[in-house]
Amino acid sequence: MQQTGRCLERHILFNCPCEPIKIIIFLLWHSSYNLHNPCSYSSYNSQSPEGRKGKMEEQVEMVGKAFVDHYYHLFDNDRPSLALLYQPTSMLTFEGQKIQGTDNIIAKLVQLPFQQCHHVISTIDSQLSSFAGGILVFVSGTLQLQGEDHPLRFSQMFHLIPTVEGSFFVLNDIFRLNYG
Amino acid sequence: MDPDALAKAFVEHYYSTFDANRAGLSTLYQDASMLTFEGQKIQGSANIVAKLTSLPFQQCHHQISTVDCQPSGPAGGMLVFVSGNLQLVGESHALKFSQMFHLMPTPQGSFYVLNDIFRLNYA
Repeated sequence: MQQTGRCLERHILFNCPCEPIKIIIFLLWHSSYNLHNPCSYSSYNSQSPEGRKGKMEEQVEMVGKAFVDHYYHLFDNDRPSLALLYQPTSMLTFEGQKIQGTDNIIAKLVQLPFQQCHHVISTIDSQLSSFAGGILVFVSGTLQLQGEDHPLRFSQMFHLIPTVEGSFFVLNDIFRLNYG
Repeated sequence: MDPDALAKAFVEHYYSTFDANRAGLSTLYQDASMLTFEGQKIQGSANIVAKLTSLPFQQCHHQISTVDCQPSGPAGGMLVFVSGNLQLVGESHALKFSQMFHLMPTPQGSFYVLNDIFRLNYA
């Protein structure tokens, strides 16, 4: 199962003319599937506890990276579609301003005072947040606004919660610019 | 207690303990606690405190610029997101850092740090 999954991933990545988004969504789904169903790995149960822990950490890192790629790609190219990643219980704190729920969060993000922007990610750190499969993702990077000379530096954290469909949504989102 | 007030109280306690007596941080972590320090992953109170007490400076001072907090879910946890400056004794310029904590309630009515991620913010 693990072997087949990896071969399929490589096939999609290198042979299919898929948009990057579809690849990222596939990897996100694939990672989350394996995270929720560790027994799907045929070799999983034969590993030592240390081996399993290492594998779990790898999975958590993979989900974190796939999510970050997906999130900032959407942000930079199609901000309204970020709505798919939030739910009514989601909370965003944006530069100290607290906002709750998909509609309010998307309204805030689409009316930020710039048309185009580009996020460049420097660091991504991920950890399991609890026993319910939640994942914390801590990001730092730069944000280039169109027309501005210098990029802004930022830090952001996400708390991802698994959905019944096997994906993740953002329950907690905190964004801060890092002033020099 | 109001969540924002709780977050501020935790942050003050954490960094004043860090700056005065790093070993004293062990009461804030448990075996399940995870720290990622500049990309290095460490688990469990003993290992975490060993890492923090072995950092290559004797004295430091954290100065906090921002504290944001949100409840993390039905288990009563709280996420705390901090940014600030870290002044090392002997260094002319302070380092900028960001850090996030995931605090979980203890049966005794206190909190411990389940997740801790620290990153310096380089120019």
